[in-house]
Parts: sequence; C-alpha cells; structure tokens
Amino acid sequence: MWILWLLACQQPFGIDRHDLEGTRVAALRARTTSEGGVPVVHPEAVFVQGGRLWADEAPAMVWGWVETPDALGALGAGWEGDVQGPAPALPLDEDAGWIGLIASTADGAISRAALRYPVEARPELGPIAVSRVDDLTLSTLEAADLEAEARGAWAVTPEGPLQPGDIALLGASLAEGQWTRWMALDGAGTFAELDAERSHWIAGEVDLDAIDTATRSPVDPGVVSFLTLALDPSGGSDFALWDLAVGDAPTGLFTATGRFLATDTQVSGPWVSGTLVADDTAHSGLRLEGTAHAAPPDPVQLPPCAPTGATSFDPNWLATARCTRAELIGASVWVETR
Amino acid sequence: MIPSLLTALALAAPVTGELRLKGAGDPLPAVEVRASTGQVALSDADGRFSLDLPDGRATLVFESLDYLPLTLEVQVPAPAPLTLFLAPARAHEVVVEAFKPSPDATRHIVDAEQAMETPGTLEDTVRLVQALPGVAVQREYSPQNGSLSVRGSSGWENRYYLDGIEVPYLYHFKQYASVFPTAQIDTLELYPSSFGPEYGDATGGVVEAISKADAPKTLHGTTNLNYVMGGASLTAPLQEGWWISGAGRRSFLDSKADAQYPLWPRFYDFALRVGKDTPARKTQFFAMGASDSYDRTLVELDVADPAEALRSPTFSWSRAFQIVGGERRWSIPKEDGRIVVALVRDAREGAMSTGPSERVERLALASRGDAQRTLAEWLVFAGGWELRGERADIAVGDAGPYAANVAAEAPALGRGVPFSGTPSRARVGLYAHTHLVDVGHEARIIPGLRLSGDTLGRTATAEPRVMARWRAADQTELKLAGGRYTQAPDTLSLLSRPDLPRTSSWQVAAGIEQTVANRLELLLDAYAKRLKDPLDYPSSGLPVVYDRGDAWGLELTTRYRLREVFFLWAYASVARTHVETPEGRIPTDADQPYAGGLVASWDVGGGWTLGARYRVGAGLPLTPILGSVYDGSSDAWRPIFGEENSERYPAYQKIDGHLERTWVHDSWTLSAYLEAWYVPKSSAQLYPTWSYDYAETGWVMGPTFFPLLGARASF
Repeated sequence: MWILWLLACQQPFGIDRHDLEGTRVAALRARTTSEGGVPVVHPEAVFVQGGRLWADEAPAMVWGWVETPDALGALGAGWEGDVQGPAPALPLDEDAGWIGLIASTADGAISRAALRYPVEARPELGPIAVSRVDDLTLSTLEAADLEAEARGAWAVTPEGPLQPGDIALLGASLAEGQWTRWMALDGAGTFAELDAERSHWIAGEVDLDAIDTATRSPVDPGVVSFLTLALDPSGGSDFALWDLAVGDAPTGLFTATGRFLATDTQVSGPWVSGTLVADDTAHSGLRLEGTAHAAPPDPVQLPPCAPTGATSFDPNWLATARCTRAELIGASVWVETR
Repeated sequence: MIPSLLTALALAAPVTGELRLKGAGDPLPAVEVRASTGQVALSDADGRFSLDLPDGRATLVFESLDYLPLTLEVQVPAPAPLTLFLAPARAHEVVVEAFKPSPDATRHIVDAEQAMETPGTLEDTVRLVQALPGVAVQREYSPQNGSLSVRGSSGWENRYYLDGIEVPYLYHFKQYASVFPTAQIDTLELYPSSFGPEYGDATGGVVEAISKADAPKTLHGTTNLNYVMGGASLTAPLQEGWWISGAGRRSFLDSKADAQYPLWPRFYDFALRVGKDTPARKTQFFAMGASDSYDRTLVELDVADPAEALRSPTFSWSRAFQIVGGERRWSIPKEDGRIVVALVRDAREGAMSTGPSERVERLALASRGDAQRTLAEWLVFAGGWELRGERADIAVGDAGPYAANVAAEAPALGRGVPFSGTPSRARVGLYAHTHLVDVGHEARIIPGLRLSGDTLGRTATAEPRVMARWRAADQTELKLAGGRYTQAPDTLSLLSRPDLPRTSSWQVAAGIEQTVANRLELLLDAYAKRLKDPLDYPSSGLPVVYDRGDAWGLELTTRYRLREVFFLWAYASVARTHVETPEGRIPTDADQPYAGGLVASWDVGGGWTLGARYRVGAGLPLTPILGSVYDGSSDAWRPIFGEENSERYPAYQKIDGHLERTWVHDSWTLSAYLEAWYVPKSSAQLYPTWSYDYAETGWVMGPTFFPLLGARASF
C-alpha cells in the first residue's frame, strides 16, 4: 500500500505558502484596549488583493464573534457580523472564542479568516534582523549545504548589503515556544526556514528539493516586500510588513516601520514631507513627490483613514486596507524614516 | 485338483503399490485401479492397492473424479511395489455457490487455495472479497480501499469472523493483505445482505473465514515471498488423529526509513492450531494474532516549512489483536454443529510524541454455538447463540492544532474532547430457524428469529427473518428472503455520544439461479434495504445520525467452465443507496450506480496458467471543498465543505494479469508468477488533494502500470 503511495504522484500546485499572491487574508492580529472601562478588541488584517499590498477600492470587511472558525464557512458576503471596516473596535465577547472576518472585494472574491481571542500570550515582533551569508550564494549552493545543522553554522555579516543571488539570514526575537512564518510578495526568492525564529532567504528562484538539477535564477534588483508572522501556541499572533533592497534599489526611503517608499529624489533625514502620487510599479502603489526635509507640524494633517494619533505616513495603512490608494493620492504627508 | 490350484497360484501374482498426490505426497484413497485383464481394486485410506494379476504384461488404469487418470503398463510379477503420483483434476475456479440448504439468499464462497492464483489477489484470498458482486469497486490502494462497502453499506456495518469469532479488522492497513494467514484458510464466505438469523448486529454484510480442520496425512508446508512480505506455514500429523499447524507472515520493508515515515509501516500475523480429526468430530485449539504499526510525521513534508517539520510531533499508530480459544465441530447422522469459545484482545493506539494519545484496549470473551438437526425428511431445526462480553480501557486526549492530522487514524483524539473510562459491555444474540422442505417439489421455507441484546446501548431487539427457495425446474432455482437487521454503535462512539440509537434495517432479497448444461451458471439477485437511524462516522467530529436510509440493487452473475481448463466468472450490477437529511436525500459514501467484474483463468498446459481480471465501477461520491477559512492563530487553512457527496470520483477500471509457471515434483511444488496491472490514466486518480489554502485542487495519481514478481513453494 505505502509502496504504491510512494509511486503515486501529484502535480505541484502553482503557489506555495510563502507566496503573497492572489487575493487573501495573509495575517491577523488583535489587541485589547479599555474604553470607559469596557474592554474593546482592535483586530487588524493584512489583505493581499490581486497580488498587491494596496488597492484603489476598499474591500467590504465584516468582523464578528464566532464560536469556531468553521462557523464562518456557512456565512457569506451578506453576513452582518458585529462591526464593519478595516480596523474596527469590537466589544469583547469572551464566550465566543474567535474573531471572524469576511472580506469581500468588488470582483466578488470572498476571504474568510478567524483569530482565537482572547489568548494566553500574544507575540511581540520587534525589528527583523537581516544578515548576509558570507561564503555561499545561489550559484554555489549544494544539497549538502541545506541540512539545518550546516545552515546553522554559516558565517554571516549583519546588515550586509544584498545582491541578487546572495543569501540572507532573517531573524526575529520571540518568547520561548513562539515561532515565525515568512512570506514574500510575488513569491520573490526562496525561503529555507532554520528554526522557530530564523529563516534563510535566497535572493533567487531555485527548487531546494532538487537543487542539484534545478534551474537557478537570481531575483531582479529592486525592493522585495516581506511579511513576517509570529505565532504563539495559545493562538496569539503578530505580524510585520517590511521591505528589503536587493542590489540597486530605486530612488526612495525606508520608513521607520521598515517599508520602502519611492520618492522623486533621493532624500534622507529623520523626517521627509511630500505629496503622494500613484505609482503602479511601487510596492505600496504610491510615490512621494515634492520631497523636503521637514518635521511634521503639531497638530499634523493626515488623511481621514489614518489611525488616530499617527504622525508619520505608513504604507502599511494600505496593506491592512485601512486606506485605499485612491484616498491617499494627492495627500500631503510627513514620513519618519529609518 | 492340486496341480490346477498350484498353477492358478503361480499365475496370479500380486501387483501392489501406493498412490500419492502429485506435488504434495498425500496418500490418495478411493482411487479405482482397473487392470486390462478385468481385475478392479480401490486404494485404501493410506493410498495402497493390491491386484492379483496373471503373469505377463498388463495395463493398469487409475481413475477418480478428483484426479487426472493415469494409465500404466506393468510387468507381472512386478519386481517391487509401485509408487505412483496422480495430479489433481481441478478447474481454476475461484467462486463457488452451491445449491445447498442455507438460510441466506445470497452467499459467495471463495475457495482459499484456488483464489490465491486469481489476478489481483497477490496470493491473499481475502483480497478477492473486494471483487465479489455486491462489494463496491474501490480504487485500489486509495485510502478508502479495504473498507468493504457491501450492497450500499459502509465498512463499519459489516462483521468479520474467523471460525465464528469476530475479528476486529479484516485487512492489514485496510487493504494490503488479510489478517488471516491464508495458508490455514479453507473457504471464505460473503453474505452481502438478507442473511439468515445466525448472524446479527450488522446492517451490512458478513464475511466468515473457515479454517482447515482436517488432519493432514503427511507433513505439509508452504512458503511465499513477494516484494513486500514473506510467509510460511507448516502442518503436520500427530498421533491418533491429532495434528498441528503453524503459519506466519511479516512485511519486511520496515528496515527502511524516510523523513515522512521515520519508521516504515510494518505488519505481521500468525496462527498456531492444534486439533484432532475424527470421522465425526473435529476439535481444535488456536492462538492467532495480527499487528499493524507505523510512525509518521504529523505534517505533510511536501507542504510544511522545514522549521515547521522539525517542530512537528511524530505520530505513532498501532493496532493489534490476539485470539486464543477452542472449537469443536461435529457432523453425525442428522446433526452437525460447532461450538467455539475464545478470548480476544484488541488494542489500538495513536500517540503523538508530545503526549496526547487515543488508546483503546478491549478484552472480550466471545462464544458462538451453531447446531442443526434433521428431525424429519421435511423438517430441519437449527439454532445457536453468539455471546460477547468485553471490558474496554479507553483514554483519549486532545490533539490540539493537529486534530485534523490525526482524525483518520484516531478519530476520538481528533475530536478534541478528552475522556477516559473502563466501560463493560455484553452483547448477546440467540437465534433459531427451521427448514421446512416440500420433498416432492424441492421447495424450502426457512423462517427464523434472532433476539439481540446490548447492555451498553440498553437495547433489545427481535429480528424475524425468512427465506424461501424453490427448485422450479431441474436446473432452475428461485429464492426470496427478507427480515429485520439491527446494529449497535461501537463502544467508543457510545461513550462520546450516549444518545446514539441502534440502527435498524428491513431488508429483502430475491433471485433466480439457472444452470445451463452443467457448465454455465446464471444468477440474478435483487435486493432492497430500508434503514432507520443509519449512522455515519465522519473523520472529524462526532458520529452523525440520519433519519432514514435506503439501498437497492440488481446483480447478474455468471460462471462458465470448459473441460476443467478454462474458467470464466463475471458479474454486473446496478445499485443506489441514499440517506435522508433535513436538506434532502443524499447518496452515501457507498453509492455506486454501476459496477462489474470479470475473472478468467486458463490452464494452458505444461505447467503454465494464465489469468486476467477486469473490474469497473462508477466513481464513488465525494464531498467537494469550496474554499477555506484562514486560521490566523496557527497560520493554517480550514476547508469549507460543499454539499455532502454532491460530486464523484471519476469512474474506475483496472485490469490485472497473472502468468504463472508451476513445477510439480512428486512431493513438492514450486510456482513463480508475474503479475501486472493496468489502470487507464482516466482512472488512476487515487484521491483528491488541495493546495495549502484549498484554492487549487488536484489528484494524487497512482501508477497506471505496475508489474511484480513472486514465488511460492509447497510440499
């Protein structure tokens, strides 16, 4: 029986779990605040739409409490839930156990997601550490190198610049028992997880299961968007969206949250101001023009979709569907840089 | 006077010898030995014969219905006693259905030894059960295969017996090989539905294996080997009618290991029997057992991230049973019967390396008695009992996020509701039926009644059943049967859901059996079932109770044999089975609108045998997956199922070929065979598979062509 199962074969699917492609909820997290002594939950989702981390049209997002994730399967776009919108305030219902989300896009695609809440522990993702592997590249990698023990011994240079074909070590710092998941927009590059907190990322495409015979092709120079997901065994989660330059990056800046924002001129400094314009080639869908060094005024003027209390524009507002690109085009913003 | 007497004595010299079975060496009794000079003799129980023949040359002819005739020129007086070997005269017939008094409307009997040569059985008789009429044609080596769906029933609705004692499961790993050492099995009987009151607590079918209980005349042994397992058996006569028999098989590929299976699946089975065979009674004591086990990772390595795979616990699964007991069969004028008592231990465990497990160990004392007595030429009375008292030790944990990954093997563990207990349960069945025979017209009516009780489910039922047969013409027989059947939920399910009802079913079957020129047999069977409270055991979640269910079908079976060298057996069936849900009628997992099969064997001569088997069946129902829910707490996707059983697998076809060469020596036989199967690419789907988020669907495809070699030897 098992022998024949081994002889059995299956065509590989086009997309693996490391690829941020298509339209789907890619990550969820939630935190609790107290409003007038009443606990309120603030859920948030990373929503990939058409393989992009931005959209011109907001998805309809309905949130509500459900007893199990499976209960969402019977609910459709007509579900009213408890609250609506991309980052709502949801009165806590401790008996329900799960926060449910149904997101519908204009083309009729429906995504369902659920998050256990409350949980015993919620991971706190700090900055993602990126190092460059010193002595190996995509072209020199061999099957024997891929053993976890061997990979753990690779020498690295912290924060070393990456070129196409280089290998990076990505790492997060988490509590004992928590673990990470790593994803890249467009399925860029190749991941090889090392342990619960770290993963190698090869700046190139290669089938690691058949590395001795597989075609190897470096990624194009530019910016790669990553999603790092942190999970706790109790069901808590956190995520970080961040960008990484590989080779010669386009003109732009890295925000304090680690996202890349294309600009018309190369600027630097703790704060940069400018006007957002549409740019389909940019990972955030936007480019900052008319840039200048300027600290934000007090009070700062931000688009209505911006979160309360924000001072710096963050491309993650689009990735979490808090803002549509259309809402931001023409907006004057201040950006805190890294 | 004296001279003539002396002359006669001088001319009548004895020719003596012994007759033995070619290839095995058994003495052959009751073989007629005829001399060209007119003398005739019969071989005795030890195969010996003696003829007084006049001096000179004589021709001896050895004849028996069971053996190929042998002609021999001898010189009288013979210089020494003759030792002659006769070859068996047998057709390669695998399925026999006798016109024999029986309270069952349909019964398929498989001759164990001959079935071994049937293509596709891989030397395992019990695998042939999967190809009998009424048994749904499954995609071989798919995960569902081996769960026998008999006339619309699911696997858990069947009962499997060895010499009257229920065995916990029928096949190693659900399909590869049976848990019975085939060498010790005489016949296999399948009762697909509407069986007599001697069997109960089953709304599906019954499979019973009958072991060999005849004392061998000489030492016999077999050994076989193929690409997965090897086995051997030995049977020896002892003194005063006692005999001993031992058999065992073991898979031998578990010395290998890979990442997905850190310890490869392994199985073994064994049986040891000691018996006494007298003309009227057969007594045997037996110990037998089987075991299946493997270790695997809990995540699919093709899908999992490497770090996730390292974090994943492993899952160890095992199941084993042992049976010790004794049986007495008797057959005296006007009466026959059997009594069997056995102790059965059945243990299964699915354990995650992180601790959670499902462990069920049952110890049962089982007994069965069947007796039949002819009271008059027109009246036969039969009755018996079936008792089973068991104590289970159950401990179930929570698999947590791995629930779905363990549900198939450890369903209670997958439900995520920990519990433990040591329930006791007693089940009893009492039955009686009479054969009322109209001698002149050979009509037979067999009314019967079965009483069943179950202490755990607190149920007691009365199940009337009746069967009628009428020989309408010399080679035509009509039959009609019907009755009530019930089945109690299994112990583990009753503990997790005490309100589960006992399923009941009214069943009816009718048919006609027609023989043409003693060569061609035609059987047409029709059946219908109506079920109340049928159960379903989904791979996750609690058992489901439906309100109603039904099944019906038509089966046409034919057998043809030509001069004992060619045998053909074929069947075709149409059938439907549904359950009623609040949303309407839906087909059950066993709903197969059409199925068919053909087995042919040809004794080519020169020791060569050629066989072929073809099976075809409509695709079984399948519940589609329409999408998924993203579980942000574990970064996993949970499937959203569509309407239950609203889609189907593609239709299935499979051809098996078998070429065997047998070298028959005087007292031992060696066979080597090449077997191959062909599955059209359009039928090669084993089971569906989905991308990590269920957005893409594909099929795991089995090989379309697969050859294998095997050998066996016997003496």
